[in-house]
Amino acid sequence: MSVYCSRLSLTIMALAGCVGAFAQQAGRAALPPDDPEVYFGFFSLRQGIQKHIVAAKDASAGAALERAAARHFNVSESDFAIVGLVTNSTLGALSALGQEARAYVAQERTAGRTPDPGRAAAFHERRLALLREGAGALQKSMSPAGWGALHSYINDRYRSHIVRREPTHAK
Amino acid sequence: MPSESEHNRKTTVRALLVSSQIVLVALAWPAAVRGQCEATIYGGADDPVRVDSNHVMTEGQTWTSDEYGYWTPYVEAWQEFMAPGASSGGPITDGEVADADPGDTAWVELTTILNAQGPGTYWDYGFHWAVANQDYCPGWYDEGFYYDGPGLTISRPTIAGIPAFWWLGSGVLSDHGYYAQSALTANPNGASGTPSWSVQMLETGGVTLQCNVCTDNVATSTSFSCGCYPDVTIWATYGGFESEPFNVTIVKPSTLTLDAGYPQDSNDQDGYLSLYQWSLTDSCGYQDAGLDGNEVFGAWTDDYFNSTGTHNNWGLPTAAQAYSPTNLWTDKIWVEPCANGKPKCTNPQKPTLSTVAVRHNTPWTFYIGTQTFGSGVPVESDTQQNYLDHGRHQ
Repeated sequence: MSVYCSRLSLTIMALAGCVGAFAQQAGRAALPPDDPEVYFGFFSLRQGIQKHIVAAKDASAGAALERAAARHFNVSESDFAIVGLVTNSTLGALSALGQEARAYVAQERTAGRTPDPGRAAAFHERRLALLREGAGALQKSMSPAGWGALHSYINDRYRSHIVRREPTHAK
Repeated sequence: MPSESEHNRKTTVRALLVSSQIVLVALAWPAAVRGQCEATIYGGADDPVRVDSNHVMTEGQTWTSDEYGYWTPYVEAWQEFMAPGASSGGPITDGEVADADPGDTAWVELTTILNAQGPGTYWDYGFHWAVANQDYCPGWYDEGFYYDGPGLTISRPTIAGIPAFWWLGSGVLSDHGYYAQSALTANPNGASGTPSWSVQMLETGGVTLQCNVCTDNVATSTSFSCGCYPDVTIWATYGGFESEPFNVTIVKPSTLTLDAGYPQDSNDQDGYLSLYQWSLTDSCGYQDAGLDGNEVFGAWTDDYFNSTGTHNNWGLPTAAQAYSPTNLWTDKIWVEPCANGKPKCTNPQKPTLSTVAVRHNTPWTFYIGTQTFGSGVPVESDTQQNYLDHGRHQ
């Protein structure tokens, strides 16, 4: 990408494309341990696997995938089921919160007003709080060994494969 | 399948498209909007999941975290593969694109059938980006980034066991440490469940397996390989994912070679003893010591009657069986005493042996692998001929 972009930069630097691109690549960062967003990504991953389990061609294939997924996360099948329940609950609450936030923003925009930054920040804080609650629910509901294994998986394995970046505004 | 350069080109085009909008709109937009459009974009891939023995799933995900829900996450993902020993890999699927509502996760999962693709390392290769609502966040864009997820190396199951064993004749399972069976154990190498076994037999080699669905098995030879090379292949398949082939050579005692200096004819009272000695080798050319053997006479023909009209009255020999600690086998053809014989036998004549044929049996057959008459592997079959003064295999 960089070579091609450098060539282009002679003509479009004024449009700020490449400057932003380089800045963004450099801006990739790992997430800190126990960052709520790590848990969001993990819950999403667990939900995606659950969809696969439900869509399996038959009950035995679904059960096999469930066992494989439990092994994948180093937890027992019973703990894996608990993770599924917490996932559904947390993502359900987040989905409702997202709808509420988007409805509020749409309502303000329709009315020709700029959404209140305080309300928006509050929505965001509630999102983070729900994620922390979800992580707490995992810890409370799972067996100690299961939580230990999963916590380690999320923070050691999964977190190492997720990066975050800030988008750019052209200037 | 887009190449890396195509990916780059695609990305740059995206940047150009967004950038061109920026110039038109950004100049007129108040700087105060910026705070509303800040966001964090997350993307990556988890370790591939071994869905079952024969499937591996990779996934890529992107999501955004922004306070106003102005950013839509996207992911385009490929499943990549690198064969064992290769220095680089490449995509084995088309790119698949997904998006999601702001606040949700854009998710692409790709699953490959392992048996078709084979052993190697699998991983997710994804392009992760987000698009801002340009009504509210004009000039904001995300160029996205590529991310290689962690790899999962898959090996085929294997079968452990002795790949060369014996054919000792029908129903003979062993003989003094020579075995017509091999214990086999399947190693799943990460696959799950209990394997089903299959056999492919080429040319003449053949085996039967003790069980069809099991981890530990026993292969029993039902015939022998054509020559000294494997022509039987056994697989243990876990949920459709075949093991590495387990190639079997079935060796058999095959050849008696007459040793130099034989046959030896000598006097035996008033008759004769003709001694044969052979060396036994197998279908791989090795000398095989320590086996059982037995002889079986064929139908007897009275040559003396056919030539003179008088029946011979020589007593019929008794078939022999024995164990040989070496690879040497002997056969003694003797007739004694025959003072009252019709015809009368003699000591071997010198300088020229008699050409008068008395009787013969055919086929005379010699078996290796057991002392049970008529069982084992036939290694020699000929006509055993008695003359007046000597005996011959011919």
